[in-house]
Amino acid sequence: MKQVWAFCLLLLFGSCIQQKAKERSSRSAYYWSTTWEHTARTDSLVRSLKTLYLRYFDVVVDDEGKVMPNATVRFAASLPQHLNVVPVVFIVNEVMKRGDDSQALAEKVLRRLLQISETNGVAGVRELQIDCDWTLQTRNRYFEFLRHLQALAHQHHLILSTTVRLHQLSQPVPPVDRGVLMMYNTGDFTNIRCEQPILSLTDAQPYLKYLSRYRLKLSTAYPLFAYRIAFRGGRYLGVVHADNDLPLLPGDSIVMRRSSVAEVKRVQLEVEQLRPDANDEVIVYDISPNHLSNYKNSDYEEIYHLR
Amino acid sequence: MKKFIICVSLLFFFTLRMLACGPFPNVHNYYMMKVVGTDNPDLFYDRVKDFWNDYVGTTGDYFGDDCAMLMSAANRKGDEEMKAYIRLIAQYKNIAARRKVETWDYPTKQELARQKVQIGQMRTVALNYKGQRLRPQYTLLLMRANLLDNRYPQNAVIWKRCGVTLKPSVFRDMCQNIYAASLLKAGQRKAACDIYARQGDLQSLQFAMLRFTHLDGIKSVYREDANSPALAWLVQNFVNSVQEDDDCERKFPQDTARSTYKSTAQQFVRMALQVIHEGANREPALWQAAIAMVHYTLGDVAAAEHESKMAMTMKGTQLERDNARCIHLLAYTKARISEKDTKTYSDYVTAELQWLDAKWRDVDDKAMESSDYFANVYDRVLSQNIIAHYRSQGNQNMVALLTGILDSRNRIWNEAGHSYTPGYCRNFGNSEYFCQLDSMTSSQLKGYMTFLRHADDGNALQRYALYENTYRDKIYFYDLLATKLMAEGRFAEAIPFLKEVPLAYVQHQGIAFYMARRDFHQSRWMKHQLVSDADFWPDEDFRDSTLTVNQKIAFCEEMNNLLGTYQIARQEVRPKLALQLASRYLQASCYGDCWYLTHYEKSVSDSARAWEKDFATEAMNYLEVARQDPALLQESLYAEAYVQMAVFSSGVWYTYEYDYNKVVSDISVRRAYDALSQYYLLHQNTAEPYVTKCDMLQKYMHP
Repeated sequence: MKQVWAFCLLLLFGSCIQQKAKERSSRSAYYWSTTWEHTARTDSLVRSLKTLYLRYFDVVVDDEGKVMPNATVRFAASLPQHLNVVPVVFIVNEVMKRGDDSQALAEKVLRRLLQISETNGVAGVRELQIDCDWTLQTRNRYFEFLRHLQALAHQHHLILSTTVRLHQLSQPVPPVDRGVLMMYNTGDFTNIRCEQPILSLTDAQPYLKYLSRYRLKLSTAYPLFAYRIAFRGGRYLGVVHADNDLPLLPGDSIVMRRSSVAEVKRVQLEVEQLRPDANDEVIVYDISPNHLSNYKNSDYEEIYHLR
Repeated sequence: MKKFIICVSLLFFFTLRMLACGPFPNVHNYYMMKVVGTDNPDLFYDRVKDFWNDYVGTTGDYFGDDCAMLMSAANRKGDEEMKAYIRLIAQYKNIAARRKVETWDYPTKQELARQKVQIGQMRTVALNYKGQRLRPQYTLLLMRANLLDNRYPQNAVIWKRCGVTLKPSVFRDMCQNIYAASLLKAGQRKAACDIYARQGDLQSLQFAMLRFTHLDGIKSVYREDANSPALAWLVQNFVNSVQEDDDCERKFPQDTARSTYKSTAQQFVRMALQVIHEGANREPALWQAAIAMVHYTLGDVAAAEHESKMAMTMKGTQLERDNARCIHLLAYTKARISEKDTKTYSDYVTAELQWLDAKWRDVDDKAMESSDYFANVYDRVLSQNIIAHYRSQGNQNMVALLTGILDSRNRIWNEAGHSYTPGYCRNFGNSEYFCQLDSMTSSQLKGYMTFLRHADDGNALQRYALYENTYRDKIYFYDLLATKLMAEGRFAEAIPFLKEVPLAYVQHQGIAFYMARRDFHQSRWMKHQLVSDADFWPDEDFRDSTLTVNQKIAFCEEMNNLLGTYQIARQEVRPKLALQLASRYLQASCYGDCWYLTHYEKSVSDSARAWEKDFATEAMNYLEVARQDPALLQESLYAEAYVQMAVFSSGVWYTYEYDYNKVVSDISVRRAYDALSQYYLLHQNTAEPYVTKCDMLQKYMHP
């Protein structure tokens, strides 16, 4: 009998160890820029990543009213071979407001995406992702587009994912293989009184109630980025991308908005409670050079070491 | 369903006799501030072309087809040095064209590799070039090659080391323009914009200054450098934007009710006054003219007149002082719209118009271009203020004459080669001169024709305008006058003028298409002479519209005969003649198939113009006579119902609010249909099919 108990205990202990190892989150990041380039910081971060979500291009409505690709990423360096690269295409909602042929658009997007990968030696792509801030008005058209794209992607042995914004959690699930929950931009950055526009648990809370019931395989993207906002007399002026970028007058205030690691951790724990599988992959948004200088390596480690 | 049919019919209608872009009214409200640069997007193109003109010896498409034309010139000259360079610029051109616009076709690895090799070659050859002759060109090529690879910092270095040492040339300017892009990329916006402003590169300036175009932006640029070259463009853009806001408020008051542009414009005026007061800026004329134009736009014309006069005497560039002078002319003429015509007014305005003439002819000696500032000022001052001045005096001749000048300067008419075809002109949009003449009676037009022949009379402005307006010749006026006389029912008087009009002239009018296919002897109520004009395009259709006679003459002669015969005819013969006259009058009216006899165009909502004889009423009068003959009663009643319905439903049937009941509730329509239905009920078995099978009658009787 003793032997039986000992065996059971061993089995239980063993399974706990196994379970813990299985639950460790995989490390991923978004790279949202028009140039893929090497910097010492990027290199060191990328080395530890399993997956890189790399924005390839946007799809916009051009001046002539045509749906066209725009701001295609330029490869100023090669991508590390170990990386699992997920090409991301951002489609402005305006495109979906038009009645263009969604099948044709899906074909064009996929063809271009594959050509970019081939031309620039991005090997082993297994997934592609579409980002679009769709609304109730454009939902049907966007979903139709996704259905076409998914069918095409599967023909190429690719899976299709899409970004899911917090407000979209209350909406029907898009027809894709999986989604990435964008856990950021929860507040109004044009309001000077909104001190945490990038991420605040309080602001995210109303949407999180839908999370556990959201019937789509999810990963979560957490923000580690910052930007400067100019205000005049409390009135929003604009985002300051670079010095000299905005006409500033004496008395104007420039406010730094930065997602705090502590707040990200709080939200991560909340997600862990509500839907642990959404943290199986932790994605940082974003590791392009513009944002890296605002955070230390230990900040990234803290976000990734969730479990 | 009815609404659907009406909408579809309407769409079809609008495809008739119109160009795809539709008849848009002419623009007159041009921007008045123009103190910097050119609107030409190909800033350096003409100068580069000049270089190649000199080299090749002829003009042409130098850069098409891999610069084949340039290469053959170099071959001819045995110019190996140039051939090497041309090969590289052909390569550069192809790569740049491929990269200029993103397309769905992403380049392949091989294509990118080929581009990389070619860019590398350009760079190597340019760097190794030891000669002097093509040094500016190779410096530019080097910087362009770097630009293709986003090597902005390297371009800054090249400019500082080599570019600045180049002799003045378009190639040096282009190098400097690329250097400005490097500055902009490095965050040195001010330095970049200074270059763009000096070069007059408005497109780049606009891009770089996108976030500085509002008042606070102007203030910050001024604070940074009181003499920043970019200020002129910023001020120009701001003042023209005030006009844009003001125009929007006038057109869409509900949308801009809460707009703040007026208070912002007043703040700008305070800032501009402060700039002039501080004296740090070297071009006060710019600021003073801007103040004047803002006041003009906001309605303070007196202030604008005074301020623009001050600006003319202040320090500034030539263009800035010219700009002030233009604003002053605008304000001066606006302030005197309702004043009596005086010698002072006439002399001043004439001198200023002549000055504007000289200015825009200086720029382009061909014709008015919308991009040409002085031509635009000429147009705006003339159309909005000077013509308005003569209209307020009731001087219709001067209004028409000056409108004619505006039309004559519109290049489209002359280039199209249809200067003398009123019907044709209308298809191109709004010929305001034609509209002006079209609204005159025949007597007024005769008076105007006499006025045109007295070029030495009147004040300076009249003499100037008579000299300028060579737009129409006597054939044009004879045709117009005869058509007016016909529309007034003065057929005999029209004939001599019509006989002065060559058939070839009529052949080239828009109406020739219809004249060649329709017959005024047909009764409109019996048959609609359909023609296939859905794809109406005059140039092609003229060729198939060969006329053997001018139908207008035939019509006038026949009407003369009919009317004469009718006057002296016995009572019992009159009804038959009356039916013929009614038929002719209706056909030649705006409701008939042969509307082209009295008009140059047709619309869905026509009615007799105030000065015309009302041909439809005339037809009704004759039909009343015709119905006195029992043999003609049936057709007369049917025709009356047709005419009344045509008159009352014109301009009604195609609208969304079309309501059959509303149409038949008109007393005249009811009366005509009552009479016809009564006839039908009494003669059901003997009535003609056009009565018994008339769907309109059936609908009326069984609503």
